[in-house]
Amino acid sequence: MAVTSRSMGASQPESGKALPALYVIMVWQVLVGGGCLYVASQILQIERIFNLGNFVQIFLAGVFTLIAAASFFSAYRLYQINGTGRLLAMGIDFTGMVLALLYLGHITGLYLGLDTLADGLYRSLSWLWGIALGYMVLWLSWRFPEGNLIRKYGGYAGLGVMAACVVIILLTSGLLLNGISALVTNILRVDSIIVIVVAVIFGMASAYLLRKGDVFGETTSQRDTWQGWLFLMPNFVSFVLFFAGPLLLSFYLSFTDYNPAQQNPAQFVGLSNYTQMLSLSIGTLQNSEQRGAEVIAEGHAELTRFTIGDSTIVIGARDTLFWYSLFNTFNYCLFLLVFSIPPALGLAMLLNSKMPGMKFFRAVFFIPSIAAVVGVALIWQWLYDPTIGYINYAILQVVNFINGLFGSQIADPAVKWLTDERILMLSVVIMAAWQVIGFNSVIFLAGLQGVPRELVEAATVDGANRWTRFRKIILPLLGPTTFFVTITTLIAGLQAFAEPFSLIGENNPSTAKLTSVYYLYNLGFSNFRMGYASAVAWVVFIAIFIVTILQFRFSSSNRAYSD
Amino acid sequence: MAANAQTAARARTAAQLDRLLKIRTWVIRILVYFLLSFVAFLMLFPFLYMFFTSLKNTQDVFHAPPRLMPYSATTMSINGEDVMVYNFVLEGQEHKMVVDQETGNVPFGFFTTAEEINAADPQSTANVRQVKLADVVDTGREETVGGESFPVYSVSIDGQSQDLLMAYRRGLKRFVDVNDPSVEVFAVERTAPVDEYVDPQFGNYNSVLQLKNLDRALINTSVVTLLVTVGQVTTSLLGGYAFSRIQFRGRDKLFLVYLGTIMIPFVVLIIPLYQLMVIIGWQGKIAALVLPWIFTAYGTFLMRQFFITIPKELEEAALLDGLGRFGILWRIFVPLSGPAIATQAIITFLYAWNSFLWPLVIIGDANTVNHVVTLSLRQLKTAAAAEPNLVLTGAAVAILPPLVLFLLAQRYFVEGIANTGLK
Repeated sequence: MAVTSRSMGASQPESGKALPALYVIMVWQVLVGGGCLYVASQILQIERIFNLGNFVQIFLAGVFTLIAAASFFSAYRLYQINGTGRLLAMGIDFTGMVLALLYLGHITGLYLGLDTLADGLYRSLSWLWGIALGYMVLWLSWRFPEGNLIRKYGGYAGLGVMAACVVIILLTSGLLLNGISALVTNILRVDSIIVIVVAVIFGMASAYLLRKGDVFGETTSQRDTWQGWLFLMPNFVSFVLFFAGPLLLSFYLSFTDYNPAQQNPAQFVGLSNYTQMLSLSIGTLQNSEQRGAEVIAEGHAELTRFTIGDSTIVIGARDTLFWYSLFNTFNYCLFLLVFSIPPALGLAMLLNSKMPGMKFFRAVFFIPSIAAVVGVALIWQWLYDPTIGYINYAILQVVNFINGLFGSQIADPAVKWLTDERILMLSVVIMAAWQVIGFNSVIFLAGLQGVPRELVEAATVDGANRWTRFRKIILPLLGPTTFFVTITTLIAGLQAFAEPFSLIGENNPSTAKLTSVYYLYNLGFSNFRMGYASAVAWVVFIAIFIVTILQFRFSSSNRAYSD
Repeated sequence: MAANAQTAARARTAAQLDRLLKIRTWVIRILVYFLLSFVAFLMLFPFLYMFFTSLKNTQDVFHAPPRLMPYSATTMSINGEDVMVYNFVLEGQEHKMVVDQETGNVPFGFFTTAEEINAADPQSTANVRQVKLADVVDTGREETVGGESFPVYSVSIDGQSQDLLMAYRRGLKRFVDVNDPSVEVFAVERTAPVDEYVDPQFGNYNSVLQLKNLDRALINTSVVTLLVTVGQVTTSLLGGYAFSRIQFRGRDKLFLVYLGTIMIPFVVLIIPLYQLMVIIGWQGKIAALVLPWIFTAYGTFLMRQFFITIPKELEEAALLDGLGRFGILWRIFVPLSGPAIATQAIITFLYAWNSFLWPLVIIGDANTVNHVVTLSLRQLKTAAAAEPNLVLTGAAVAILPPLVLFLLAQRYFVEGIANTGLK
């Protein structure tokens, strides 16, 4: 990379003396602009684009038109030997090159080669152990000090073993030969060659402009700009492709009836997804014989009812499952906070005592949070088993102990943790809290270690007891930490999916297991009502947003001591 | 003199107070350790349970009440046939016994008095005497207790004949001592105390790897995790450097946008991203598990936060020495940010290794060859529902790699995460 530290902005623009190659680049920018306009017009003429609806078509055409305009504009500014024009043209050409190369990877099947890679590694599994062995040798020999012969030759031996194994894997699994031959055949196709040529022209144009900084009188700010964007390029390209683009698409889809299982393209339906989802109807029963459905609006099903005084009020919803899932998620979050944050704070207080062995305990508490939820759910599924599980066994032992102690006659509760509708969400929460407590206590501990000792000691001298010290000094000082822990736990809770999905299971038809994301998953990937599911996703997002803002407000008004 | 005595007394009470305080400290210490150990036990127990169950055989898993150690029943070869060995305690002595198959079921009666019989449920009568039916004499009489009638037999107990009610009858198996055939016991075979020995089934690990592609899934997950981790660290280093050190146009606005995206949950993206993958043709492909994940706003943010703490002078000196931007990043920033990189790599590793929703959606059941570990576990759960020992072996296989990484790089996990949490 020709990143230079030349003296900046020294030479004046040599406006009168235009370079011949610059005219070629101007022509190229005009060509690029024309090409983009052509692509835009083609996009508009396609009957339908992936069934996503007209809006996506118009949007994409608009993006290409914008790029075309930028390209034309850059050609004009290049003609004027203008620094901004150069930056713009460089940006377009460099991005063009990157996208062309990415596209080349796509049409030559480079990305799908990952499947082949995994397959090849799988077939040469035994040689992977060889690589591990070589690494072990390398690692061990590097334990020796610099200049030691073992370090030198052991290192060579380790590297040699690793390299030999890699070569053997590449040869025996056919990764190298098949890979190269596939790549060569794919690259020699006409479309690949065209893309390569385009990429090369883009690259040459941007490289040429890059080197002509002094012709354009490049300023420090201009140089920083292209350097900054250059560094940001990998980050930014994937941000646009896999984050910003999908985000916009998601927002759009939430206003459509998009369903990929159907043939017709997505129709714009305005707010109807949201009204369908959020619509409630309230009615009062005239007498006890009346059915709930009679007093609520048509198209609504009874959600819940409650009695105030003499009248029974019935609440109906169009999408009862949505409200159930919302209620379940709310419950889940509430219990998760209660079960995981106060105990985590307590543990952190214990861990904060200056006694030997605390690092060990801290590490042990942390272990549950590193395990996959799916794996953990498999363990807990059997711990929760009503007949052979340890949890009911422990409860029975406690009950027997109490019965033996007080002579009481408490029966064995024999809780059906995973099938009883009333408590299955509780089972999920207990497991989730078990996973997150250690993580939270580690963060609380870091916060506690930031509490100035002098403050606590001063309070002790003033006669404050433990509880007062905790309530009046430590807790307020922990405000930001508590905020962080609450937010992360809450955001994770609002997105709970793997926990109920893996623990309760897909075969349990109960609606008590539905969290919002679980409901979204069912909508989008079982019923393929993706437009509607997108609307649910946005409601989840808005919930997270509101929670964050509220918490932020709350904690910033509560931060008297910390700042 | 008096003053002296007073001082001495004061010193004595001070010493006493000191001792009391010491005792108090020790009591508190022991209490704290006790509490911490108890919590540690709760935290570790599910994993211990997983590990021990993964070593059990299929019969032993369903043993009630539950127990940790993996047991197998002792068998012994008699006339070329493997038979179960039972362990009876007779008169304080243990006897290894086997079922006498030739005798078959021997009819037994269970006798009791009219006072003791549980008329509603005779089988659960507390105090019964078990006597061979061949050794009793039917009196032909019947006695009615609680509306139920029971036959009365004349039973000889300790040489004395007694009339007792027969609560119920049952065929019992004859068990004989393998060393001394004259010692015999009659008992129900199903509930007889089986002789067991600790016998870990390490073969479970081998067999579970073949079930549901778990071995292939491990390779896939490793490939995905490695690529995602390397990709995220690379893009974050480059992006973090740009955001912290280069004054490019549009930087601050873009940084705000990045910050805003941290709050956006993945569920908002899942449907359009799924559609995008379908359009590109990556549905069911490993590429779909890797490439969308190499961008991370959070990681970029963390790197930027770390980089702004590195003194500017270091960079200016390097610039004067003619080092380019990449040189500065690679030679100065990367070596200085070892802990930050390690922390980010670990967070990413865990996220990639444990991710479930996205693989479920994009790989699903369509392409089991490209399954990752979490998906294989989901399949294993249904496929081996009758064999929890294998299911938990699978869970152990999935949990082991992060666990090993944790034990090796514990410091970066705990301290790194504690630090990122506070920034």
